[in-house]
Amino acid sequence: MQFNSFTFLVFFATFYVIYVSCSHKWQNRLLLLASYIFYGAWDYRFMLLICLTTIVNYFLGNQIGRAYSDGARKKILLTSVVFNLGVLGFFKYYNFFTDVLADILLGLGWGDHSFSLQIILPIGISFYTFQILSYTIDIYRKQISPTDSFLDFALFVAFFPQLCAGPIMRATNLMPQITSHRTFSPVLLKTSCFLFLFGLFEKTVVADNLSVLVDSIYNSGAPDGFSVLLATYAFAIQIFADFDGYSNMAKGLAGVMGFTLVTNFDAPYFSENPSQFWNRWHISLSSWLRDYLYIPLGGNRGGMLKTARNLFTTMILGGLWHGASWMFIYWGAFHGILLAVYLPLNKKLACFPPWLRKLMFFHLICFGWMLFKAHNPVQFNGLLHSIFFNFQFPFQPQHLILLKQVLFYSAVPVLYQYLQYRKSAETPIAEWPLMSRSAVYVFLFYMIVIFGFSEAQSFIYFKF
Amino acid sequence: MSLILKNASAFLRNNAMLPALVCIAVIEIFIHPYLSANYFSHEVDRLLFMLEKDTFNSPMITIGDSVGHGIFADWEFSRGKIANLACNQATETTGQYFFIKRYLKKNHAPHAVISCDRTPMLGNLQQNLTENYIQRCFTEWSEVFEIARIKVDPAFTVKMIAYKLLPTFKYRLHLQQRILGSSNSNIYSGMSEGGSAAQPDNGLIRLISDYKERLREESISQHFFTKIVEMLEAENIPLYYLPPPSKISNNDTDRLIGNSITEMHRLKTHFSNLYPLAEEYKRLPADHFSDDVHLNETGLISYHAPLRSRIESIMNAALQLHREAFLHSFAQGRNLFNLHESNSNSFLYPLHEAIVHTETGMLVITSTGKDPAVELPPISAIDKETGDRVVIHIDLESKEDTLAKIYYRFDGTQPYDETKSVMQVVKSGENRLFFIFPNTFKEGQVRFDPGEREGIYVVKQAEAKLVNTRTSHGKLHALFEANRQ
Repeated sequence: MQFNSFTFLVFFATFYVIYVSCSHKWQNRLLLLASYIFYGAWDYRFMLLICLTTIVNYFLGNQIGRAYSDGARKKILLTSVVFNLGVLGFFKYYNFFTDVLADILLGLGWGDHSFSLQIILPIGISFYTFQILSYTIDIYRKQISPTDSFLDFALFVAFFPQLCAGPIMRATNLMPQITSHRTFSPVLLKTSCFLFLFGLFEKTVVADNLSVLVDSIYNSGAPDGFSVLLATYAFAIQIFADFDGYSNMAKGLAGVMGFTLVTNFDAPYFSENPSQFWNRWHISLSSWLRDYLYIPLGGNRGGMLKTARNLFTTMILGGLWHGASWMFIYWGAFHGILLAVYLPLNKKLACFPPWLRKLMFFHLICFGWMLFKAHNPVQFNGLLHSIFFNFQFPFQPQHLILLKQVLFYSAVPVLYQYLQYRKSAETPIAEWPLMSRSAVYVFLFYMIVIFGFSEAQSFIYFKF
Repeated sequence: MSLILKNASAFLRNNAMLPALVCIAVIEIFIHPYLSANYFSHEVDRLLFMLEKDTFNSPMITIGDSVGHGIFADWEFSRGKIANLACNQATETTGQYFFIKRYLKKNHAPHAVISCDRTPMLGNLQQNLTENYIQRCFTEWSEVFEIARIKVDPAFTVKMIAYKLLPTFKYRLHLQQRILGSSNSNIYSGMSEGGSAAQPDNGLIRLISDYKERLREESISQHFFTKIVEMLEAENIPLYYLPPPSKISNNDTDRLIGNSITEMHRLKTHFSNLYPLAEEYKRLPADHFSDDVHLNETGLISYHAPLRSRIESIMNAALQLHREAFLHSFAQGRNLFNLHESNSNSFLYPLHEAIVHTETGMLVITSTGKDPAVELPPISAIDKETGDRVVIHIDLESKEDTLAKIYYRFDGTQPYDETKSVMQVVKSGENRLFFIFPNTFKEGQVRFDPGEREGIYVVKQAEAKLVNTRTSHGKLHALFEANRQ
């Protein structure tokens, strides 16, 4: 069930009418039921897995909280980490690693083996696994106490607005919102409605339409350099609009229910360096990686080389988090290298004007997106070759149509990011006069109605 | 709860959404006529537009799928042009039902309906094209409710309502084409490349929907086929099921048509006006087809030749049925006046160029000019509110071919005029004439003009009845227009 579907509209409208008329206790129970129905709409078997994960981690979280010795606490935490990463590894990476193993065995001349299994990847497993890990680790670190209520914990794991593609919430943030009474303020309601509408616009109008253009070019046999360049810029907007759109819709939905989710994007394409970028792009994941991986690895303590090593390791694992593919690992490594290289470069680049630094770094991000989008290194090389060594611009009508469409669909998200960047606000139009805001609503509505995809297209990050 | 209401009130007062909603409503209301008159996605759009704007009053209508459409495309036969409402398999029988319903709203009831469809009993509005052919097109409120009631799928209904309320959504692909030069889905099919997003196989929604379908006692198409038969039965219109021809090698169609005919035989026990023409099912060689099911030019030529005479005979049979039904109704009608039960000397009152005298129970009108006129006894129907009609039956003998007319007026102060007259063709010899009046005329005076020539006219019987006809005025006129015996 996608947020951008009529099925979800009916589901949420029905749910919401009951939700607002319930007491806090029943709101939580209803939310949990709705979350399981929402998740089961993809595959009822996913519900069994999330239930199992919830039961095991509830039990382990309580055991960590009760254990007296550090050794016992560590063992239980290790059990939790092994269990969660084991489940994630099996469903997401089993076939990847067994294929690698089979290739190695074949290379060594030890025969052609296949260990692959028919495994369905449960939607959002990477998101809720990281969310659960943060819970048990935070208990271990004594930053939070384990919850006594199994139903509250189950809701923390399965809370449907952010279940499938984040933002990855921490227990320190979400659990108090679950356990305490929620209020519906008009301001939150207004902001939430706008966020949902804008997210829907980003997804159905910008991301879905650009995805058709991008796929048609990336999947064509030998695209010309101009088309690849255009498709790469378009993909940069598409992936942002897709993921930011989901995050905005998730925030909007959670907001109308009285919850506040963390901000996941903050004008990332206006970053001047990789460090800024990762503080603005998929903030909930990058902060998770920082707190639970980079800092435990040593962070920036121990000199530039060790810092670079830690950054590189964190980003490779971050890349692998996105999917079981060498291209994601290369993409993570590329960002790791960028972070490491920019450490000494940052001061030297200060002599350039900010707009030039942003422009330069935007193109480095786009280079990374080519790695991210390409199916394999051969395709990536072909794309690079057509841009850098064989650039052609066969001036044909379809190129103009492509250009027109990319500009048409990209204009609003770029402008909106610019406003967010300038105003340092998540909803920069919130302070506009009533009629101007109305005009924005009318504009967004008609963009969605006329240009939006009426068939619900899946979000890119659902497969991560 | 009170807190929620308080907040909701503050929310509405300061929210930019309210003016936005008003603005959207105004735009949608004003843009609708322009969009619906200028943009058509496919044949269903065009047909519905034509049904709204034009009148057909055809003696026969056809319904069915694209095979049926191809067979009856631009067909004329001896009694006029067929209204070909056969369209596309994607509309299923549901769409056919609403086509007929919309047709009957604006046109005279036809003498007969022919259904030419490979799968009239199959379909639960689950096809890929259902959205673009049903949800997007059949958006009158009654249609939305009727489909919602049988489909029992809230998301399906909400989408229909969205299409109903938002013409810009309905015509979005055309608007995209207009603004950007291309659309993100195919305008004809309404789908983007790769088809529509289906519910996942093991998803809860899909499982519930499959379970719901299994609980269905009849398919949605079966339901609407029965409704078509019911609707036509109420109008006394016979429905003929003509199975479309299939390839000799295609056994699937055999089975499908066999199942449909079995189901129709079951229905026939409740509905006498349903005629499955199983014997008309033809198997044709593969070279008669352009694909698996559609006839090519050779196929159409070879299939049309025998079909033409068959349609004529279907029409004659339908007319015979109507005539018999009408005569039966007339026999059952309530007497208003009758020559044989009254004083024949004062039955007719000469008005103009006419001399009347009696001869052995018959009335002889001698016309002294070209406009003879006599007045019949006045009409006075007691049950004015019923849908029954006044019908005057006259057995008239004439020496030559001419035209007989009956004028009517509601009271004696008004003059008789052509706009309030009913006419029948008179042949030389004996004629059985039925003059059927609009159901607004239940009381008043009637003037009979037996012909337009000088000479003798013999009235052997003249009677007026209030008749329950169960059929439209236009169709009854067509039935007796040529004074066929």
